[in-house]
Amino acid sequence: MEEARVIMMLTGALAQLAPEDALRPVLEALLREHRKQDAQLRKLTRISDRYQKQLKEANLALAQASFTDLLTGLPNRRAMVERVNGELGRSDRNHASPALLMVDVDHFKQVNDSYGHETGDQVLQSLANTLRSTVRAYDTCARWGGEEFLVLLPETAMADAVGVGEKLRRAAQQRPEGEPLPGITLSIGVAVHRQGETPAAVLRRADDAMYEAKRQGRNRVVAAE
Amino acid sequence: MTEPSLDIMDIPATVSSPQVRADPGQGLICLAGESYPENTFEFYRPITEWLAAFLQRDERPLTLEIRLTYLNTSSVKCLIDLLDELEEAHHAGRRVALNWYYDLEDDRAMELAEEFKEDLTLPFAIIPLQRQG
Repeated sequence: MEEARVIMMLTGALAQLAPEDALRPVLEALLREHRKQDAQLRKLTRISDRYQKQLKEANLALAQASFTDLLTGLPNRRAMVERVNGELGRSDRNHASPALLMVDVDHFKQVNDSYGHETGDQVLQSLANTLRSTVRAYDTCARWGGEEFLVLLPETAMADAVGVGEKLRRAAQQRPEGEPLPGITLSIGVAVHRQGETPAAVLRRADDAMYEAKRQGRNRVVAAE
Repeated sequence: MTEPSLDIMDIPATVSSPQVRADPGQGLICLAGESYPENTFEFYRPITEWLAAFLQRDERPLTLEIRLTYLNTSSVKCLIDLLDELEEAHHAGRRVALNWYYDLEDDRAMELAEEFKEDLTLPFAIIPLQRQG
């Protein structure tokens, strides 16, 4: 606090001057000027701090928005790509393979065509809530594409991952009570990451398994080879 | 008041500097837009000089109208200088006022206006504006 020290010195010096001392008006003017500068600096710093705080908040909101799916509030594809990459890296380091569930709504186009896009959106929102509340706390559900969701289960063996898939499939089929939305079913493909496998490769296997579920008649869970 | 009256100052806005209008007839200085010019102190010098000249030559009331949506730190400093000048005039018994306009839906802009207002005793109105269209 340099300015505060100068102000103290000037105040001290003034106290020692005789009332009629010729230096008094000079010191008084200096003291006034220093007080003014001091007040300005404090104000400037305060305003600058507030700007910085607002900027930080705006950046945070922007970052959150860029990683969130607007319709469902789930992490979006961008966020999920990062999370999957991180988890697969951990898998290679710790031999703790995660499982990926590719989840697709069966005949979703028919929902849109018969009930309208607004209802279609509500179905996706409701399904997102169901997925979120059905998986374990450390699993991640994301909106992957239109009616496609991706679920990441850290360190999960195939049998358990298929179990989670079955749970999701049944939960989606049982609509919450009193919800006037058309019923849907899910086709789910499950792949467990292999050591050294690229994200694209394991996603492809989950995707292929999901299409196999479609081929077998939909509303089912298929494990990737 | 033998000196010639002040000219109207009218500087159009750019991407990084605000529009400046100063009208001695109306006793009004208006700053509108965003303020982060390349050389901020150079930019504000004529405004500070105009204000000082008006207060010296003219007896009439003066209003400073602020419609700034973004200020860099140098602009904040220049604006504080302008406000201090007005505050001094106020203490000297001049009729000066400040109208600070902000977007009604922008709470942050209002918080900033409050910060500028702090420590000042001159009439300082913080006025919310409805967003257009």
